[in-house]
Amino acid sequence: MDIASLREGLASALGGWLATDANNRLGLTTVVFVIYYASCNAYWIFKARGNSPLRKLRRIAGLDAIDEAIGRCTEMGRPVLYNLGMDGLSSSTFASLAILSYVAIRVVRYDTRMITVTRYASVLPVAENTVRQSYVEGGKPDGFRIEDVRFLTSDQFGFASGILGITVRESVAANLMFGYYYAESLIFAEAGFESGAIQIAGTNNNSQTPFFIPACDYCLLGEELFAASAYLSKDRIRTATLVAQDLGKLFIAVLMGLGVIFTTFGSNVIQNLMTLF
Amino acid sequence: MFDVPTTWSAFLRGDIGNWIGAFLTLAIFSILWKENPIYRWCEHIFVGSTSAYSVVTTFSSTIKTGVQTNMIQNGDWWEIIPICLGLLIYFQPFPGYRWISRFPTAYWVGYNAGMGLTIRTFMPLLTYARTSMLPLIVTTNGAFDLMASFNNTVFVGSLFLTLLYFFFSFDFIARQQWILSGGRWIVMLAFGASFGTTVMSRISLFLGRAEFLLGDWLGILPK
Amino acid sequence: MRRTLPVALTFIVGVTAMINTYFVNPSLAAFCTRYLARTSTVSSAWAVGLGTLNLMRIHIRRINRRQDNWQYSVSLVVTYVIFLFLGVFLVGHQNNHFFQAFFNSIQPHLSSTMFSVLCFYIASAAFRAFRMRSMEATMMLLSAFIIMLGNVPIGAAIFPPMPQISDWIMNQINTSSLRAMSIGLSMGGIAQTMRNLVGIERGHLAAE
Repeated sequence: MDIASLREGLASALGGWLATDANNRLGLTTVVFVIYYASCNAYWIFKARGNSPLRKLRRIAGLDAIDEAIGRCTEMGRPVLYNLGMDGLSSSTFASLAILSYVAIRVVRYDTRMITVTRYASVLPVAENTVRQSYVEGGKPDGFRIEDVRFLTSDQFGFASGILGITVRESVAANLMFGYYYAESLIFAEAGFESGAIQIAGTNNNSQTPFFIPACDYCLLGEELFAASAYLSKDRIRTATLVAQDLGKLFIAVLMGLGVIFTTFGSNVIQNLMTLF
Repeated sequence: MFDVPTTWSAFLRGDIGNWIGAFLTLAIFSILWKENPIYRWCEHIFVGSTSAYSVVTTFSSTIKTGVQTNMIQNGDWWEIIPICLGLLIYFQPFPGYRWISRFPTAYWVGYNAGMGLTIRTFMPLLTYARTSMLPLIVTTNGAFDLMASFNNTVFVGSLFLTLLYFFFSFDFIARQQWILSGGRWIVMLAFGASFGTTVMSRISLFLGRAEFLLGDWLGILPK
Repeated sequence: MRRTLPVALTFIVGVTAMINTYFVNPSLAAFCTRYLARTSTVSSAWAVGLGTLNLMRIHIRRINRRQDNWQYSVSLVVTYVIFLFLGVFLVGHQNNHFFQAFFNSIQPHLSSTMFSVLCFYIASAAFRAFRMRSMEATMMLLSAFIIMLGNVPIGAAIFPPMPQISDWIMNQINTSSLRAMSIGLSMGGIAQTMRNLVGIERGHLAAE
């Protein structure tokens, strides 16, 4: 197979309209992967709308412990502190909002106080809506207190300083931290430890997870944060998207596996096929 | 619009600035003892000042520039549309009209979602795949290289074990205890390594503050 | 309609922003940069007041009702008003020399001190990790210990191959594992974003 002429042919055919990265030439492979992933989503969402059983999800200990944390707050008569993370309206914040929705419904059911904090003004109305909706669904629309959904400041350490103060002064019994965190993650965790709170954390920043692990009682590792929406809600459509997510990783894993096998036997055919355009 | 004499700024940058800085530094460090009124006061000053600063920055860099420069000077009157869209969020506190605030939120969510699904979001996945295609048998100058082969095998093995650990919906994988245990062990080793690397940088942060207190403020450290 | 239109807006804006990057189309790219991106920047800038309203509402209510720590709320509100007044009415706004000097006499000290507090907290967290509650915590501790020793001269003095072992763990275990996690995190983020785009996640839409 003449890779060079294949590349030339594809460059002339696709160069005018399909985007690619000039250095890595992964444009065509990326589009193939996107089509595959979109198809997986479409298939599994279609299947989820029917009645056929979906896949069972493996256990995630950190998410199972949320009920225990809320129960502890109810017994002790102390509030839950829910931290939405340090990012704006990103995927990690939305993953956190999905968990917030679950937590808020339980907090309403057990008549426990919850303080929600956010760093960005653009996240504030979304957080308010999520918590308010839970009070409406829980049959206690008048129970929602606007002062329990708080914006402090968008400054990183100003926010950390404020959260440290709130955690200790309000004597929170559960400190839930889900979202994207930077270096101040340990400040939040240590404040919760001082307050004697049960702590559950999850972040998609791999450099901060090592600090949550020793400081918190439970810690979600890696993408367990993004699985929370489907895991907690047990919603069929969300579970279907989680299955499609796993299938996307399977594609990458199989591609890598084939590449390793071929490379071991001295052939770069997989890499060459990946970098055609 | 008014200004203040530059001597006032020089005054703040001089010795009085060091004394203010030293007081604030020690006040924040007092949290290590316990939460106390001095820390509480500094925390409230911190939140108030930084919150106002971000409003001022947003006002002058985006709001004032947008209206004065873009709309009035350059004639980009279409910018009235995003201004109106942004102002719709202020219907949020009013029951009955809250539905109007859905539109700016919907726009931000949509735009952020679109920017999160670009071709450049998917490309790194395939770059990782490509750069991880390492040969398990490495030869150097025609001879079998044990160390390089071992390293590549460990690398590829750790990568696959970690990747398999994070499959949530594959029952077959969830039933293989060796994948779950092995994957978790590898992840813990990796996180431990990250922890160890970061510890030293955190210690150096404290040394920076100690240098300010002992050098700039008290003048104990030689320059 | 009140729910359908916002979901449709999310989808249309998102797909337009997304599709632009898959195809080479200068006019679509210019449209997205000039109009879509600018609309997002300008509209979210005008929303900054919502955070201020929330902050002021909480603290002014606390002052009015003389609740716990109301005195500190006074200092917050006063600081906020001073900085806002100076920042808006001084020549050059945040670039004014006095405003910068005033802000820099406060914020950098508070920020860097909060950052340096991490040094003590990391020691506290490491001490709890050292108690080796489980095999996993032990693995983490061991790995951290080797890396730390490998990066200081005393490590090589205690055990000469320590720096090489430290480098090996970083290059083979740490890099590979973090790469696998990055793949998973990217897929997770993509899945979450896709759910937002097509309207599967609608929690951000206000309750009436």
